[in-house]
Amino acid sequence: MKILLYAVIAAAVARSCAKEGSVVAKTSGKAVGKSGALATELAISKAAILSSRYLSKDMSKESKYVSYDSSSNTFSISNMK
Amino acid sequence: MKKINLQSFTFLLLLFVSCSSDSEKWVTEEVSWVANFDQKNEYSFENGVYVQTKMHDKTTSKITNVDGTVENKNSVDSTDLPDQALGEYNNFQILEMNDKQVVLVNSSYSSDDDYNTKTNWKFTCEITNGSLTAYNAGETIEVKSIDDSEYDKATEAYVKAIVVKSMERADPYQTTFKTNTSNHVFLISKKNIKETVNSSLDAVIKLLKEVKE
Repeated sequence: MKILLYAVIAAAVARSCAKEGSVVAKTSGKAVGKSGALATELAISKAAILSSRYLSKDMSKESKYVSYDSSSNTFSISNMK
Repeated sequence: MKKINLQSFTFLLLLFVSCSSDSEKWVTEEVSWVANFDQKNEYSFENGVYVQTKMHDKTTSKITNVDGTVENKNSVDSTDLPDQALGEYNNFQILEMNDKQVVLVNSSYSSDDDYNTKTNWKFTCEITNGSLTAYNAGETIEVKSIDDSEYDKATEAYVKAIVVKSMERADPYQTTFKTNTSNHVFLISKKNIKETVNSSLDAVIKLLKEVKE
């Protein structure tokens, strides 16, 4: 059974990013000079760190059947190990 | 005069602290998504493997956006799949079969959406109509997956990981996906496998944001 979910997930992600972009733009408009842009970058960096940590370590805690190989950018799901 | 200056200083200090606090305010906004998928897939036997040749997916979904607006999106996708890209596959193999049970292995690989995704999953099924003898005689038998709960849990982690990787702005610890697979039935003959399956999805993607007003 091929998982079709990710195809629809991609649409949701694109939608979320678009919404997020509009918020960031609004924020930048009201920000004071470089400090606003810097704060936004810090926000993105913090979220990126959370994401990286999740992919490299915590994801396997949620399911022993799921893995991610960063060298090939491959997500795998298997109970054949 | 000194008293006035002190008051002014205190006021400015409070204003500064207030502004500093605002500039580092973190909020989460969410997109929620509820969906149902009815899938029918067909696989034809070639060189010891049942290779997918057809798929039919009927999706009904409701998406609630960050601003609270709701979208109902229903779709039907029906595709013959003789022209999959080189290296891409989705197939089944019969690993074991006896009078009561059939063990099927689903293997798939896809490079859709900038990711490489691989599946290698063993489904243990009970024979609900027919027999091993009937299958060997060329008849079609019906089998049903016994328990897909582990598959659902793995799917949740898998999809969540893809979203986290995609966005790099979502907070993975506040993003949830719940799936439930049901009515997972296979009609198996020596020529083909016809799979039907229902899946439901209840997802919330939370976005970690810094807001400055």
